[in-house]
Amino acid sequence: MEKALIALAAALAVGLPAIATAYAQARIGSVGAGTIAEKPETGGIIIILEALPETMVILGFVVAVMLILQFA
Amino acid sequence: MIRDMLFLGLWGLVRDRSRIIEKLHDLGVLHLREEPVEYVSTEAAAELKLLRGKALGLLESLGWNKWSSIPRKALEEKRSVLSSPDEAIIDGIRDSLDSFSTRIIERTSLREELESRVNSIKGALRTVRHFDSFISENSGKGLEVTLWWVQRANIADLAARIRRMIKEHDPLGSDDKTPYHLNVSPGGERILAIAYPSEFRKEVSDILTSGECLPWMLPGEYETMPFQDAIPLMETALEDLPRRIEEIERNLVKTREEWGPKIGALYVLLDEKIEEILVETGSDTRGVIFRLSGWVPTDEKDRLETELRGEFRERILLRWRDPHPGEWSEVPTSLSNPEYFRPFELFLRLMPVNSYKGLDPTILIGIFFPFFGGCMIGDMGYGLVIGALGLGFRKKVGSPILNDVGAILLYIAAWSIFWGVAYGEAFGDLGHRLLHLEPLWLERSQVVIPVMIFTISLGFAHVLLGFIMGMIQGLRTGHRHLWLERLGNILIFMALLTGMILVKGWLPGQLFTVPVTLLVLGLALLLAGGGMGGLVEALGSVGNVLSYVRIAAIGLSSAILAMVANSFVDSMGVTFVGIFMAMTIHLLNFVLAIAGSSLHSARLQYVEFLGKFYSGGGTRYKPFSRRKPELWKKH
Repeated sequence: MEKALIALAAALAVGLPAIATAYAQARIGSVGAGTIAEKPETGGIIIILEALPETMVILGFVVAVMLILQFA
Repeated sequence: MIRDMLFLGLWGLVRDRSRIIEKLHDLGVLHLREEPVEYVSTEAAAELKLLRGKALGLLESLGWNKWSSIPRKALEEKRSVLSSPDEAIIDGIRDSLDSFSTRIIERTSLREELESRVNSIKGALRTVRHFDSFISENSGKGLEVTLWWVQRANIADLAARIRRMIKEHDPLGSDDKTPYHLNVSPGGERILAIAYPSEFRKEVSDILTSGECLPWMLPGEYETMPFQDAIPLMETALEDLPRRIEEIERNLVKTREEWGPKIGALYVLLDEKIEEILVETGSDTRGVIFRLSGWVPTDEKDRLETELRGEFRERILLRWRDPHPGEWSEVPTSLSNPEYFRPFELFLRLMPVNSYKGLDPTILIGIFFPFFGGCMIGDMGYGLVIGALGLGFRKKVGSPILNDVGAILLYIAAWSIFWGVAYGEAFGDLGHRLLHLEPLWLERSQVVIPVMIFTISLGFAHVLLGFIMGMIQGLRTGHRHLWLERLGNILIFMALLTGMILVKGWLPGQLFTVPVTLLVLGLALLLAGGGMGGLVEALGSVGNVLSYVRIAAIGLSSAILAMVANSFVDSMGVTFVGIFMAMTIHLLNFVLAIAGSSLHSARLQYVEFLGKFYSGGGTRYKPFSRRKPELWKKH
């Protein structure tokens, strides 16, 4: 039971930020595509903006790994 | 590396002006201080612009866009003809273009007309065939049959009015003398076929017209014919017309292949000439002397001077000087990197142009991008496939971007193989199963923490390097706040590093004052350089370093997915389904590996690294030159 809860906690640590990231990236992506269509030179900046929310998942992954290694 | 630039002031005689500008156009190294402005119309350019527009219109009519197929030799040969176009040459070109254009328009119009006829005949035949039995049955009874577009639904009412009208004129006549049939097409189009004695033609027409019906007619030349006579003729036309259309199409294709490159070459030459005229009229002219100025890369100075002196000797005056700090923002930026790193200039094309006094990060991107990408993929098998893909892209001649992408893929492939050896992976654990491959370093799917620590260390070094570049940039441009802030960040990073080493016990505890001193000094510099904003940015930098964990995370997911793919063969055996499933998952993993590693590695360059020093704000180096034919399509 305890292991299952730890696994659930780790899954939530990655899953919730993943949902948030997906939402943010979807919004940024659709707007970014329009921006690049009008100004191709903004491509680099749009990639940066598109990639920014991913940090949430990466940090979630770190937390998940720590949870599993620490408690499981 | 950003090429050094020199400012060139050029004085010459007005009578030599055209030739000097033509020579500069040929040499293609001078970035004019003031770009030729297209909308400034001059009398000389107006005629050529008109011809250029006609040529472009013709190319669009022909549907030709193979700019790279223009023979370079033909361009060179014809360039001399347009070098000094007189009225006769311009008239000749205009007449040729007009006559050619008329012929093309005639053919394309004829093709469109024939296509339209085919469509209308097809539609008419479809309708008439639907009523075929109705028409033959009632024509056989001596009745006249006509077809009508019907807009309103009340057909029965209209038919009743017609019957009443006929009954009034012929009280003894039969009631079934006005049979009708309604067809509703899938598109909602309603067509009514109605039969009646021919002597009531006018009355029937009046009643139907008053009921918002419109007479349905056969197309064009069949309009007056009886339906039964028109059908075989329309069928014959349907066999003949496509042949004629095909013939015209063949003719147009032949014309396009033969004349497209010639008219394309004419367009290129006219465009070049217009540009020269605009530069000529934009030059600073005083009496018999004119002046042009701009920027030339230092490594092109000797060639430019020799070529100009060789042709114009003492009739030209050249003055060179270095740009002074006040001009740095307007000096164009041109990159020149070693062959190995040149493909990575692609990354900077997605960014605002670097400033002339900025630092060119191409070489560092060339080192770190494939290294990070390879570390994420970390599989010999995938590495070999990426290498093959890269070679394929490299062989795609004529596309410089694909060529660059191919080169970048090859470098990623090399690092993937390197890391694959370190992790002992070849298509996941397939290498281990078949060839007993063992990792040289560690098996990343089993041991996560060392890989995470390694990637964070990589991040630490990479971000620190970014700060060092930022400090150099600040010193070069004299931005005190920038270099102070970056130096503060460097000291804080060094304090963190020495602190961790002390905590680990790798240095004697008495040295604890070192990280404290570095931290205090760093904070002071940070506040002096960037104020409170600098402090916030320093905290963000720690997040930047943690962000490099993605290299381990993506690598881990890729390794596990590859193992999952192989496990299908375990559970399903070496069967078609098992192998098919394994290959499908490997393919998915491969696509994810390429896309994920490239995107995340690029993000680490753009956000974590370039964000520390790259500012943009420069001007792209656009020399006054004859562009390559393949670039004209973008014009």
